[in-house]
Amino acid sequence: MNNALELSRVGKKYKGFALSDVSLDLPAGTIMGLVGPNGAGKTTVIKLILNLIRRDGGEIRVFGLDNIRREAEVKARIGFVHETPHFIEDVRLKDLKAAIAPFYDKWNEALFRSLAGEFGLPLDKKFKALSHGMKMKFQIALALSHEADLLIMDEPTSGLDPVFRRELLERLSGILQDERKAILFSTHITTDLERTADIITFIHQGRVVFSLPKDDIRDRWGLVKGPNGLLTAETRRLFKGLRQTSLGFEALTDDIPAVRRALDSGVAVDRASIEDIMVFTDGRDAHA
Amino acid sequence: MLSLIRKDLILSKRFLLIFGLLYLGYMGYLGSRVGHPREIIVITTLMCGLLPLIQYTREDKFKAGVLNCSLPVTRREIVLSRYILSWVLTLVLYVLVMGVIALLPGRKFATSAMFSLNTVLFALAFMTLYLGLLLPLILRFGLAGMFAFLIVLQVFGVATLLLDRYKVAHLRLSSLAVVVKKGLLDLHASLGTPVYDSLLVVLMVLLTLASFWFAMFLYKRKDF
Repeated sequence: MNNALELSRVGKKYKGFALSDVSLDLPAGTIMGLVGPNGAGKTTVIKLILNLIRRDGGEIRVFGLDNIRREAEVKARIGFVHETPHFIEDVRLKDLKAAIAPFYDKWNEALFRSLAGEFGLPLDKKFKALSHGMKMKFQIALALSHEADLLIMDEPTSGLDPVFRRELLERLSGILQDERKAILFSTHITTDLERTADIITFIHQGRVVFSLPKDDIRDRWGLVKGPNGLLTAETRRLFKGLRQTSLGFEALTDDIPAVRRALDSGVAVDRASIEDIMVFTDGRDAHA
Repeated sequence: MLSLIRKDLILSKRFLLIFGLLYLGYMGYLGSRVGHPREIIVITTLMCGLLPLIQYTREDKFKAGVLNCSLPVTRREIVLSRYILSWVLTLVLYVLVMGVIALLPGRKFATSAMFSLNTVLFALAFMTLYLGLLLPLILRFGLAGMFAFLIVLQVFGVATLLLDRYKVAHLRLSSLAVVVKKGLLDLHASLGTPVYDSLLVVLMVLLTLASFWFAMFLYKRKDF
């Protein structure tokens, strides 16, 4: 399967934060959800793909093209939604559209009109008059209207009402009927990921913890509950995170079969949600 | 490239129209008050060059620079489009202002003085310096770059005056200016007007190119 996006050992250093050795592959025809706590590096990864910030090392390829050496070609194939919409604010939406559309050979005016109508976008209004949700919808309409092969969306569902959020996610899935296309989106809303994403990439403190198909996560990652007596140095090694009380322990594992082999009937094992994985990996309230 | 220029014009058309008309009226009036063409040319060039620069600081104000860099263009194209548009806007506004000054009654100098080759070259040289110094800073640092430039200019001006007043290191800057002026006049006399003027134009082009390369160097390193 061809990759729409490949990141190989990408790094970026800031004062107090470093994105280290980020590698991931997004095959065409799939949706990848980028998830992680605040400040984990999700937006940095997206900005690096778009060359909005300079990478310190590594390689980024979009449909096989280097994202810096073939910048214009690469960006012509990307539809981008920024987490905070930034346009000159005292300009009407129709003028913003008129300014942006000529950059794209594949601009589909009929599709834009249809999306604007569907999203209820007031094209005669100035951008500053819109709510955050409407600004996001406008950005989404622009990103979808040039029939991009790769959609990159940074927190696209933030500020959207649940009904539109659901519609957007369904629309994203619909886009992938064309198997040459792919979508990368970051979100805090883990239910969005579970509903839509084929691959989930979890970033924590500037590192990729995992980048796996959703089904693999479902099969391998679990929440283990049991009495404290079962905790030994050996069994602890099976856990990615552990929370302990006087009544027993709750732990996260990325290897359910191994836990079952080691602890068997002494514990209860449930499938871990993305939220469980985030909470346990973050470790802020885990006590080992 | 053309798409970038068109984008900037579409997004700033209201701003350019309102401020362009205000400038025309104001500079036209000022032109009839000032007694020497060189003074009005300096002021006009300064004001005309300011219009495209303020337009770019608006983008900085709204943090809209990220839009340019997410469009299918290279950073080189963005910088180049900004240089072309700045020059075009400055020149168009300059010509319009000069036209208004020429048409308005009450002017204190002859029309021919405004459109002589010397005057035009002087205006172009001033624009070259002004845009050449400011554009790289504004493209890289936005409004902060513009303020930094103006502050440095102020500090430099005050320091120059102080140096001159107190004859620090036995240096009279006014004498230095006289020496430079005499040197230029001698050069003019020895080369002849056509060669001297051509040399001046070449120098302006080189300065603009150097400024462009410096702006690219800075802009390519800008993180959004």
